[in-house]
Amino acid sequence: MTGNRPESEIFENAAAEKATASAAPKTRASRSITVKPSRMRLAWSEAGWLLFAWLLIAALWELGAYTEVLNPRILPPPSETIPYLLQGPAPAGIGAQRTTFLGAIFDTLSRVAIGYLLGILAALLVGALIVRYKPLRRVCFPIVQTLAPVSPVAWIPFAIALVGIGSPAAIFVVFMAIFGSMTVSAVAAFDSVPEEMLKVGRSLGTSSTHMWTRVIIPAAAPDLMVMARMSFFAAWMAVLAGEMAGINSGLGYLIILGQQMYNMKLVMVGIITIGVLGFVIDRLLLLIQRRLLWWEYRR
Amino acid sequence: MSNINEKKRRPTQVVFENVSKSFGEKKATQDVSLKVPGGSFTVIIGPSGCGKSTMLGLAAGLDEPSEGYVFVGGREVAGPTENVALLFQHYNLFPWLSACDNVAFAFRNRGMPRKEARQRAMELLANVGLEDYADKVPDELSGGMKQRVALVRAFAMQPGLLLMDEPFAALDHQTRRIMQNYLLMTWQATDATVIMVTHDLDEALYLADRLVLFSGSPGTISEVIDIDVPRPRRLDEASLASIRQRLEAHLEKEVAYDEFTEAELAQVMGFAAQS
Repeated sequence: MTGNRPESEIFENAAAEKATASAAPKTRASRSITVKPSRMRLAWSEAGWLLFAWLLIAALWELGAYTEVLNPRILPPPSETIPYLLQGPAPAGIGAQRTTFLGAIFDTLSRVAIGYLLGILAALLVGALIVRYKPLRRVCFPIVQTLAPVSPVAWIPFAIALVGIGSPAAIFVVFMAIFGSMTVSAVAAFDSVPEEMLKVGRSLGTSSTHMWTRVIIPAAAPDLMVMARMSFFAAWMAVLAGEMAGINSGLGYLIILGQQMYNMKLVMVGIITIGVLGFVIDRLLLLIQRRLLWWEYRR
Repeated sequence: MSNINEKKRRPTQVVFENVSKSFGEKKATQDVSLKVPGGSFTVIIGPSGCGKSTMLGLAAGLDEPSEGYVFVGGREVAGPTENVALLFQHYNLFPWLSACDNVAFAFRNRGMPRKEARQRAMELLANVGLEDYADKVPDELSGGMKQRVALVRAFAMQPGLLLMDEPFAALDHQTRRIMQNYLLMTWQATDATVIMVTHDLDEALYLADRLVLFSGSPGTISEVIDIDVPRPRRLDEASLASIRQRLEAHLEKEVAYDEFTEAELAQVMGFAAQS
């Protein structure tokens, strides 16, 4: 074997020359062309631009309110909203619906977390079963496909009638918001695992259980992860819509309270919180994606 | 390869007996009978769409013949087994596993502990000069490296039969030549039978003990040519050159059945005849 050294050295040179070119068809082009600065530096520069963009909007807003181009009663400027936000936990509402700012955040986050995780797990399971069993694909898949486009808000009357006003109803709405579309994309992701890869897997002595855990799921993971991140936005919007439309607690309800009391600062606080939390959670999901799909970020 | 002589066994013979295979309406092969001697290197060559790859699928147990029988190692094929390895043009390495873990994959399926499996995989990678790349994932390797890892992985379980479907078609000329040598080197250290499908005449002449010429749609065997030129071969040897002429004459008559309609062919071949 060592007799072939010179040959393999020739090979190495040839390989080095075409290393970038040969990978091009499969990987995203940007990955092989750009010379990357460190990821930390990129993250800082991104954060810097984010801050700058928002400071710019805040400044324009402030200017608009000061010159009364914007009506400060309807669009309270940041100089009023931010101190209001920081003075919390501000209780709002009356009687049983009385809630604090932090309480509302907790309600919304716990609902979305539970509904989201249950929805994803159920979608993966049902998707796998549909891919695995032909009759299920014929019978269950059309049902899922017709339920997927139903707006999550449409489930609210049903959810409240079924489990009453409160967290279970909100969780149900979140679940319904993502289950259908996530199942459809899980089926697509499992279906698009290359046939040859399955053949090679089988010829390497993979049992049918291991085919799922060691071949199909990892092969579909990049597609699944993208869909999971998209689903989070659907889940986040669904929980807020649900809280606005009858489930009387949480961040969505906080905004409705603001409307009812004509407290636009409260509405603004609600909107800012929803935006910031949604952004932060998406970034967390991105971090999880990097960890989970580590091999895609090696280059 | 290491420890290949641990078990002495009969080389794996492959027999196709009056095999026809249809996919739905389309007939891929018709009444094909072929005996592939154990331990030999057989190359199937022919125009695209004549059912060459179908033969590999049948031998691998991934498809069932519509008519006839396929025997591998004296037993009728009844599904994929570890005795039969596959190698495709698209390397089909698992992108989420390092080179080492890709090779160790089959060992792990057998229930071998992770550490031992990785250690054996490392030895095999070292055989093809890839020990320094063991922890790279496929995306970080060049095309030739990926195909070397795939080759090592295919041989890892010491299969009796290796089936290859245009394995080097995506590589550039020089890399392909080196990979062919890697393949010969790896194969000659084992008792494996190889069946390879290729479009590349040079590749066929360089590697094969026996050439099987396919033609028609549905595909049938039109000729079997034995090449007993010792290896390493030079393609300009007189004996190979004469076989080459025969092959070219044969392929010229054939067409790529799934690429063109008959009318298109009549038109374009008429044009070629005029000029």
